[in-house]
Amino acid sequence: MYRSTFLCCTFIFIFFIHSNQGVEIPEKFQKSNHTNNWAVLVDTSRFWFNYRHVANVLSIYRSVKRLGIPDSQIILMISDDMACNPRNPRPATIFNNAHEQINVYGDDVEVDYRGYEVSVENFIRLLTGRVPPDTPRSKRLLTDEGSNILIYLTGHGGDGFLKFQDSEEVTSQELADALEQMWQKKRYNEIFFIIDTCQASSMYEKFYSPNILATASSLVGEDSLSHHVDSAIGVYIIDRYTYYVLEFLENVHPTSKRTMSEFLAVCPKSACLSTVGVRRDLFKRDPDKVPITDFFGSVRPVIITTEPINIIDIPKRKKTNTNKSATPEKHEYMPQFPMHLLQTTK
Amino acid sequence: MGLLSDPEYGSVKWVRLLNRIHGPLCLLCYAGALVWFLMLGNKEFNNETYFSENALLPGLVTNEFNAEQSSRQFYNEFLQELEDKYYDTDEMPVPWLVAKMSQLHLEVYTHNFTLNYPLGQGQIYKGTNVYGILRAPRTSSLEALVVTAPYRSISSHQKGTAAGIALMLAFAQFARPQKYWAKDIIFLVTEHEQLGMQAWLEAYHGLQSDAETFYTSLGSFWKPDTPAFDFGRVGDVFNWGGGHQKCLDPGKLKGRSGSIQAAINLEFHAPKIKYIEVKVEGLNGQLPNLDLVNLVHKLCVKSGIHHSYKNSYSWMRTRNKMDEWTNGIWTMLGMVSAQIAGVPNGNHGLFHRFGIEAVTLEGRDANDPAGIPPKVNALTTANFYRLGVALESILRSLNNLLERFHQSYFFYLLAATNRFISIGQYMPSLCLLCVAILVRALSMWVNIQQDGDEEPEKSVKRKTSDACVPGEHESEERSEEKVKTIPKGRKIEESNMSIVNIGANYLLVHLLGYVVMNSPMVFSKIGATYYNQPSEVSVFYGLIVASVFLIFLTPLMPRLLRTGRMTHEELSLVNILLLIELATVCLSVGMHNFPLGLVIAVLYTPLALVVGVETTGGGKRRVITIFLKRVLCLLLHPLCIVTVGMVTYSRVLFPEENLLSMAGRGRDAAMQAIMFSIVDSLIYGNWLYNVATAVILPIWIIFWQILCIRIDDTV
Repeated sequence: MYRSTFLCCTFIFIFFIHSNQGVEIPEKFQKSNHTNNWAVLVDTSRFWFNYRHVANVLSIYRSVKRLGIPDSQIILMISDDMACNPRNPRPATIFNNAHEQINVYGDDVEVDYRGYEVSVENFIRLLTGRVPPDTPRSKRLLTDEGSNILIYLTGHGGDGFLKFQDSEEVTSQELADALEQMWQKKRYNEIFFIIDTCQASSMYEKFYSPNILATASSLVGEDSLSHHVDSAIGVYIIDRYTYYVLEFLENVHPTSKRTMSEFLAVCPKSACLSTVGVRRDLFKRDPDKVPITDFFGSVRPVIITTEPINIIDIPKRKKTNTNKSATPEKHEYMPQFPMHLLQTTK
Repeated sequence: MGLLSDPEYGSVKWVRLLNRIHGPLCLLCYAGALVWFLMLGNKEFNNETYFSENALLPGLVTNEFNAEQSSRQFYNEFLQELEDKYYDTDEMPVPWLVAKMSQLHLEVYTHNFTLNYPLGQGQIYKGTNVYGILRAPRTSSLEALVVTAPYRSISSHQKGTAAGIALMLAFAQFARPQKYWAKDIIFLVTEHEQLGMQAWLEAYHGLQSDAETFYTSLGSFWKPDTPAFDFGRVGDVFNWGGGHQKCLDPGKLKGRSGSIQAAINLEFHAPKIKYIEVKVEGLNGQLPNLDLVNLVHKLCVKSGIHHSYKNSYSWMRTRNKMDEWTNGIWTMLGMVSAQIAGVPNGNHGLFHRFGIEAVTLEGRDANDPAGIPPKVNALTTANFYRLGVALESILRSLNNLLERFHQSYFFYLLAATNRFISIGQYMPSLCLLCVAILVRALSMWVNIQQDGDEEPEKSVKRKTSDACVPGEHESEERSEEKVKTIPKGRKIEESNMSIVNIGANYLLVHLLGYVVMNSPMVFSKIGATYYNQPSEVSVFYGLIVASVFLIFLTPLMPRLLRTGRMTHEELSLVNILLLIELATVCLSVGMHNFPLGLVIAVLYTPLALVVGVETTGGGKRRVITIFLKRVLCLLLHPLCIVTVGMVTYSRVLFPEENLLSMAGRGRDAAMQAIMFSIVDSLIYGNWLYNVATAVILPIWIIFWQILCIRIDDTV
C-alpha cells in the first residue's frame, strides 16, 4: 500500500513536470557563460546592381558596433567597393535607405577582407583558424571556447549553396563541416547564424554542431526580396529581411532586455514576403530567455572591488629556468625501411 | 553505308513504306512548316519578353533631364544654319557642329573618309563625320556608349534628322556635368547615311584600307587570312587598271574611346512626333541582343512615349485573340521582309557586325510615309522633354552594364513589342522544309539501290503497260515507278556511275556561279566603255545576258563532259547531291539569317519536290508536265524572282498605274535592287548577292540541267 502510494506520487510528479513544457532547463544553464563576442559579417556578391548586399552588411556592422563589439572583434568582408563605383551618384557613401539619412560607409568602417579577398577559401580559413602564419591580426578570428560569434551572410544563394563573387560558391555541407571543426577546436561557445539570401534556410539545414542558433530570410524554394529602390542612386537599396532586422535593432541598446525570440520574429511573412526560417534544435538554451546582447552586444567583464590594489607591489615571477642544464634532445631520421630484404616479385 | 548498301534492304519494311508515302510525307512537311510559322504569331506559341541581364536596372532612377529649352534652341539654330548656308548643298555644317560640341566641353574631332565607287567610271565621294567624346569622370576610358544621328540635308528626299541632332546636343549638355558616367559617351553625327557610319566604325576599329591585318590597340578580332568579306580584293581580279584598293577608305580617327558596348541611333525629324518606331534589323539580318530591344521598349513605356514595332503598336492592345494573332503574323512577316535583303534599315545595323548592340529610334508623325497606324491621331504628341527623358533613362541603364550584352537572345523574331519567338521555336519550321527535301533525296537513293533487286521481266511488263495507256490519269505516278524500274537491265553491263563526270559538272557549275558573282565589274566596265550606259543598266542587262547564256548552255554541259550517254543513276545521284546541298544551304543560311533561309526554302522546296530524272517517251501529258516544271524552274531563277518581286511590289505601292508602266517601274526597281545589293556587298559586306549568285544560282542551274536532260530509256 505504502509502495503504491509512493509510485502514484512519482507519476503525478512526472506528469506535473511534463505538463510544464517538458523538462525545465535549470536556471544556471540559462545564462550564457561566454566571455567575449565576435562578429563575422560577409557580403559575398559584387557588382553595382548588388548594391543592396553591401548596404545590408554595412548596416549590420553599424548595429553590432553600436551595441558594443569593437572593430578588433568584427571581421567585415565586402566583395565590392560600392562607394567608389563610378556609377555611384553619391561618391564615397553608401546608404541603406532612400531617405539617405545614414551613411553606413562612414569614417570608422574597417573592412578586413575586401574585393577578391572575399573568397570561399578565405572564409573557411577564417572560421577554422587555418590562416597563413603571416596573416595580420585584423584578418584572424581569434576566438576561444568562451566566444559567442555572430555570423551574418548576405549575397545570392540557391538550394544548398551561397555564391561568392561571380565564380565560386560554398555549399551548406562545407559550411556545416567548417562549424564542426570550430567546435572541435574549441573556437566558440555559441553561434548565432543569420543568412539573408534566396533559399537561405538551405544553408543551415546541414549543421550538426552544438550550440548554434540559426535563422534565415527565406525557406527553400523562396526568394528573398529587396525592400525598396533609391531612385536617386538608381539601385535597390536594401533587402527586406535586413531592413526589418535593422528596424528592430535600432531600438536595442546595450542595456536592453530584448530577447532572441523577439529577434527571430522581426520579419513576419506579411513584411518579408518570404518565410523566415529558424533552427533551434542545436541550441540548448531557450531563445525566450536569451538576451539579444549575448550575440549583438559585447561582454565587458567588470570586477568591482572595494579594496585598493597596490600596484607597486608586483609579485615577482618565479623564474622558470628548468631544463637549462639538459642537453637539447637530438633528433635523427629513422633508419630506412629495409627494402633490400624484401623479395621483389617478378 | 552499311545499312543503305545492304543488298536485301529493298525488302526492308521501312523502305517499302518510304516508297509508298514519301510524296505525301514531303507535302505534309511543307504544309506543316508553313503552319508552324504562322502559329508562332499566336500568343500561345510565343513568349513574353523579359530581361535576362540583371545589371541593366531599367528605369529605377529618377529622370533629371532638364534641357528641353536648349534642345529647342539647338533645333532652331540648326535649322536656321541650314537654311542660311546649306540650302543648296548636300554638305554637312561641320563648323557649326564642331563649334556647338566644343561649347559643351566635349572632346571634338572630325573624321574624313573617301569612297572610290566600285562600279562605273571611278567616281570618288568624300565625306566628314563629326563626333564629340564625353569622358567618364571617374573611370579610365575603357568602355563607351554611342549616341548617333545621321545628317540629312534639306534637299534630301528622306525625313530630316534635325530634331535628333538637336536632342543629342541638348543631352550632351545635360550629361556633361553629371558624375555618374562609368562609360564614355560618344556623340556622333555621320554624313552620307550608312556610308559615314560604316567608315567611322571601320576607322574606330582600325580597319584601314592599306593595312592587311587589323591589329588595333584592342587586339585583333579579325584574322588576317579570313577569306571573303574583303570584297574589294575580289574586284581586284577584274580590275584592269590595277592598283585598285578597297572601295571605302575609312581614314583614321584622331581620338578614340574604349570598346563600344551599345549604340542608340536617333532619327527625329521634328520634336513633335506621335510615336517612336524601334528599328532593329541590321546588316545580313543580324539583330541586336533582345535585352537592348526590351530595354528601349520598356523605357519608352516608362517615359510616356508611344512606341511601335512594325504592326505592333503599344497603344493598340486588343483583347481579341484573332486580331492579336493576325497582328503578330504581320509583325513577323514585316520583320522577315526587312531581314531578307540583309540591308540595315538604319545606321544601327552596321554596329552589329562589330559585336555592338544598337537600335534606331525613329520618330514618326501621324502621316508618316511608312503608313498610318490606327487611332494615331488620338495620341498625345511627344516633345523634347519626353524624348530627352527616354534617352536619359536608356543611357543610364546602359551605363550600369558590366559586360557586353550576352545574356539574352541574339536570334529571335518579334511578334509584338513585348512578344518574341526564340530560335528554338522558329527553327523547326525551316527544319521541316529541309526534312521534306531530304526525305525526297532519301527515297531517290533507295530507288537507285533497289533497281538491282527487281527482276527484269517485271520492268518490261510495266513498260509495256505504260505504253498501252498513254495519258492515263496516274501516268505521273507510273512514270515515277518506271523511273526506278527501267535501268536494271543495264545495271549489269554498266554499273559504273562515273563519279568523275558528275563531279566535274558539279564543280563547273559552281565555278560558273562564282564567275557570275564577280561579273558586275566587267559588265559595268563594258557598259560604260562601249554603250555609254550607267552601270546599273549595264549590270542588269549583263546579268540577263549571262542568265540566258547559262539557260541554253548548261543543259549541254554534261554531254560535253563525257563521251557516252548520261545514265539514269548518274542523274539521280546528281539530283540527290543537289537536294542535300539545297537543304544544307537553307539550314546554314537560316542559322545566320533565318528569314533568308526560310524564303529560299519556301521557294525552292516545291521545285525540289517536283524535279526528278525524266525519261524520254511518254504521252502528251508527260510532255506538258515537263513543260510546266520547266516554266516553274525558270520562274524561280534568282533574277526572275527579283524582277517579279519588284513588279509586284510596285503594283502594291502604285495600284493605279497601267500594266506597261508598272512593268517599267518594276524593271527600274529591279535594276536598282540588284545594283544596291552588289554595291552593298562590295562596301558593307552584305552577302545576299553573293549567296544568290555563288550558291543559289548553281543550285538552280543543276535543277535546270536535270529538267532539260531526258534519259533515253530505250536500251
